[in-house]
Amino acid sequence: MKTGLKRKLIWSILAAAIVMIPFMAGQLRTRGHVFYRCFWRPGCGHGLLLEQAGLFSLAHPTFFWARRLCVRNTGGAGYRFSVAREYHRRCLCGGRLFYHRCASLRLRDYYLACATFALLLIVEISLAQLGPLTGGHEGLMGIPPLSIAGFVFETDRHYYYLAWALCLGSLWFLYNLMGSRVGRAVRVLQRQ
Amino acid sequence: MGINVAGYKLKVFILTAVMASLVGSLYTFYLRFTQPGIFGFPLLVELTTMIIIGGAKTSTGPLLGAFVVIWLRELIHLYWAGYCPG
Repeated sequence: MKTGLKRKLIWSILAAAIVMIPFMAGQLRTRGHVFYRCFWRPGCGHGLLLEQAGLFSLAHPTFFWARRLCVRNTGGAGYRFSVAREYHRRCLCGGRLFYHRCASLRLRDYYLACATFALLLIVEISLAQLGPLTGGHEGLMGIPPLSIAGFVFETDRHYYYLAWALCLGSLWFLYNLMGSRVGRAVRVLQRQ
Repeated sequence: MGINVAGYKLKVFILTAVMASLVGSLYTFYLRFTQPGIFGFPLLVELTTMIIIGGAKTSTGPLLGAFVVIWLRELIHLYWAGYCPG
């Protein structure tokens, strides 16, 4: 069998398996797949790019949470949109300034890890203290379901397919990125 | 000529942060619940474990790591819930 045909066959089987899993597996397994896809993406971005650049950041859960906060506070009616927007803007400005300083100060290895870990702790404690906005330690509930072009994502199966689409999209993006000029520069950073 | 190291580092940080934030928004819609405590150090440990288990040199490494860590957690929740409540 030709190599190209064999590759197409393998990809077709994989695609069929991805599509069929929610129909064959129980709810627990579908949920597990959704979690797995959701976590893989930041894991991949975090691991692939940072490791290939020779960096080690411990602050990425901060961004994970910051976006969640923004979605929560702008996604439904009756929430403090202006406060959330202002807070999100300040977070972005602060984060950018922090990383700019980190980069310009040439922090590396354990020092960069320590600095980013400090950022993680600072943001986490700050969010926990902002009770009216973040719900404090008890958190926030009642977030409306995701809706794209009128289609409402409600079940595990919907999120399973959405997570897979994002996962494959990010994989394609990373492959292309690492083969580009920027990707080659990132690899050179690690060798240094 | 040469590479602007600081600029590229910043770009890598921003790119990975954007990826994490996109997944964060998806995860928020999925859970319909959010809390500061569970997305700090525990998530950091999970991500780092995934990367260490799978390896970060290739894009399939974190995929494998995520598969192992998340499914292990799900199975522990399923079978050891009686022994380890909470």
